[in-house]
Amino acid sequence: MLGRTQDRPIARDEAGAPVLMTVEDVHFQYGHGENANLALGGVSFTVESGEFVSIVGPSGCGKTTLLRSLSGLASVTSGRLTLDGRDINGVPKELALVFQDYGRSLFPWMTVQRNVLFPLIDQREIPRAEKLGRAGEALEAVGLKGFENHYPWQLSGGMQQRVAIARAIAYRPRVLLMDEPFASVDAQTRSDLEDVILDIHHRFGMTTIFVTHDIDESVYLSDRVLVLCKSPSRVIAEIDVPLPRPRDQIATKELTEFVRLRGEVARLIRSAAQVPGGGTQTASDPDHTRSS
Amino acid sequence: MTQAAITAPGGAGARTVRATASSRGRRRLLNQMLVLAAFFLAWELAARSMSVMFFPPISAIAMRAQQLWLSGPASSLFLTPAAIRDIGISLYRTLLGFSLGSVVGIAIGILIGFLPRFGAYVEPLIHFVRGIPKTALLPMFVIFLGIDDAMKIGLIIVALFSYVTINTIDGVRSVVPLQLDCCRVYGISRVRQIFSVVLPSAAPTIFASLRFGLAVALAVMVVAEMYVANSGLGYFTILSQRTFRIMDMWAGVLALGVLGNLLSIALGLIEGRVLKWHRGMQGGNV
Amino acid sequence: MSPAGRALRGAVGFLILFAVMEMVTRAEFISPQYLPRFSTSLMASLELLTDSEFLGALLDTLRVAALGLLATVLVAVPVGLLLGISDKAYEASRILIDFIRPIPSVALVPVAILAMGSGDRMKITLIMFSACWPVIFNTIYGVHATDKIARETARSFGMGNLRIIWSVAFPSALPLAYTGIRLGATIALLMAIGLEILVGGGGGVGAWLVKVGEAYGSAHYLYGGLVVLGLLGWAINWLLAQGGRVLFGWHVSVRSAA
Repeated sequence: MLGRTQDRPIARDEAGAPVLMTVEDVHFQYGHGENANLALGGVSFTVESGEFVSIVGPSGCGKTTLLRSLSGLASVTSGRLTLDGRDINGVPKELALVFQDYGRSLFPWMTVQRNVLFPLIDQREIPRAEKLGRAGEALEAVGLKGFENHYPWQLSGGMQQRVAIARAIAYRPRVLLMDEPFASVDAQTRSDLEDVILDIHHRFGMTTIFVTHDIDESVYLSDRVLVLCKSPSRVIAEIDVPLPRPRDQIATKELTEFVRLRGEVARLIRSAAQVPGGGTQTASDPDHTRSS
Repeated sequence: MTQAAITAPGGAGARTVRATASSRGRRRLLNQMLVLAAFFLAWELAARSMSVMFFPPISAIAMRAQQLWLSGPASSLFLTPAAIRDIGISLYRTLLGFSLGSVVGIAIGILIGFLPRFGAYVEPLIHFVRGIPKTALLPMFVIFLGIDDAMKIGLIIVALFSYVTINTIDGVRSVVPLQLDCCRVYGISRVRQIFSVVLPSAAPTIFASLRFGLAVALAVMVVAEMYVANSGLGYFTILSQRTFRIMDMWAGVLALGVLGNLLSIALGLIEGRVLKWHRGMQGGNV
Repeated sequence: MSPAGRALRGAVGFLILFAVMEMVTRAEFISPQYLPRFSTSLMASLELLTDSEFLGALLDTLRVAALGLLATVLVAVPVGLLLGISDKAYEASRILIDFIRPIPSVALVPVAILAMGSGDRMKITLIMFSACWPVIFNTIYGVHATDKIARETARSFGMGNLRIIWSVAFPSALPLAYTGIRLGATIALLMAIGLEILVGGGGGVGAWLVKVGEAYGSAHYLYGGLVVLGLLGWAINWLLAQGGRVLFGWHVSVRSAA
């Protein structure tokens, strides 16, 4: 556990309760004996309420494995995951996950609206009117107002991913997990979707953990970037991103600070790519430590 | 393909699209109507010219059928009591047997698909049942269940459920794992998963087996009625043949043909509504 | 679960079923005259394997079914090829086929008996009428699925239509047509036995089942016969599947199948 996070004041939500997710020394092993493959070799970090955290790393660094573990879809071999101070067992209902393969994560026999409403279907305590309201709000937030009665296969790839995002938002998760959600769309759509995510983060203040292999994207979107090394992975660096919000695709990326940060991340990944389980550790410049 | 799935193409879903606005569509429809008309005309002429006792012209058959079954009072939709006795009972048996057989088939298929351990014990049994030529069960069912409706319905259920089960298993196993992951992430209950995700996803292949199953149900029903019954269209037809009421016999054949068509169309309509999304998917996107 | 594990569980499944059947039949909820002990029926099935009357009847049925299937293939495959290749013919005939296909062919039994008596000819004709549909449609499907590029390549080499049909469309369509033939085989056997039951006295396993069923005290032979038939059906299915693999192992649909 890197020492510096302990001196920072912990963010609290309106109720004053600490809202954070912790990942403590998580190991993940595939297979047994000779075929064993240690994907995660002691990953540790924390996430604070309302934060936007990106996770980057070289190919094969177990980013997806980490996300599946966080979401409860896969069980870790050792280590501890907590949400709100409680251990995560199985799939916690405060999480939502947006997958890379948007096309197949949506249900083709349901309209867009029904897809967005689906995660809420078993929550009887929420009145139908409110569910519809949330769905409408979510679709508007992703820019798909008016497409409620379309079917997913009638939409383009980028629009389908928006539906998947809307579905996640309507669910009102405490933490939004995203697994390389824009890897399969073209560059123009990707920048549009990045701004959608920024807008959502601003509107709903949703804590977000965003896995990506795109360095620019990670810096552009986040408050903090975590760099993993090659398997067996650990967090080898945490980079604060104190760039001003709201961010802009052109203006923000012109800032000197942006260029410096992305360079730092890129160098870290390059060194990490060469050495499995290792890589240079650089703590952030203390002057850039964010205080809340 | 494995032992699984009836993938018989050209089922009710392949029925000609009747209403197309384009002139090409209209010309196609016209061609088809012409072929149909030519067929009936040929029959009519051949029958009239040959005047062989056994092959009356279609017009005469239709008239006899109308006399037998559609000449009743307007209050009961023109149906005669004979219509209820002959056609109604056959329809009832087929529908009930088909519905129950489908439900049983789907239920067992879901169980086997969702519980691999249980499935490993039961699946070979289902394949064995599928291999039995179903008509051979008729003497056994007569001994067991007599000659009533229960026998016929039971036979229909046994005859068709194995096909539906096998296709359901195939459908359940083909559900996109990512979609099930989504359900898990959002905490969707198992039951809801089955009805809202697995069944719709498996619906296309299930319907393929239902089309086949309907044909089986109808065939089994007719054989059972011809073998041992005292009511129904099959009974009526074979009885007419044995008592040399040729016109009645043909009327029965016509009625059975119409019944088969109506049921097939009905299933096709249901399939069209339920699988509207599937049709759209295949037609539109690449 | 390993394949061996699955096979073992399958076998155990059968054994459990046998045990349950044995217990139920011993409890005599239904009189043993109608439902004898399961073990008795199983023994009877073994006996039947060496019974000349039963085997003779079985061979009769298989002969009729095979002839029916052969006749079906000889007619339905060319029809399917024709309809598959000529879109015009296909479109024109669709509506006719759509109306004729749902007619249960058993409905024509009385007509067929009048016109052709109750012999093999009648049975083979009716088998043709019911088994042709899957063969025709799968053949059409097979032709339509023929790689268009292969066809156009042949055409670019100056091959005439007939040549293309023979060397490109026909071989490509065969594997899928074969699937249809397998379905047709199931139907042929089903119809053969069904017709024998209806016609009675005309030989074949169907008539044998009726006779045994009506006789007193021979119910165990009835069930034994059904067990043999079940095994036969399963064996035929397996054989045809293997045959498909041998003949069409080169086709992607067979290679990718389990």
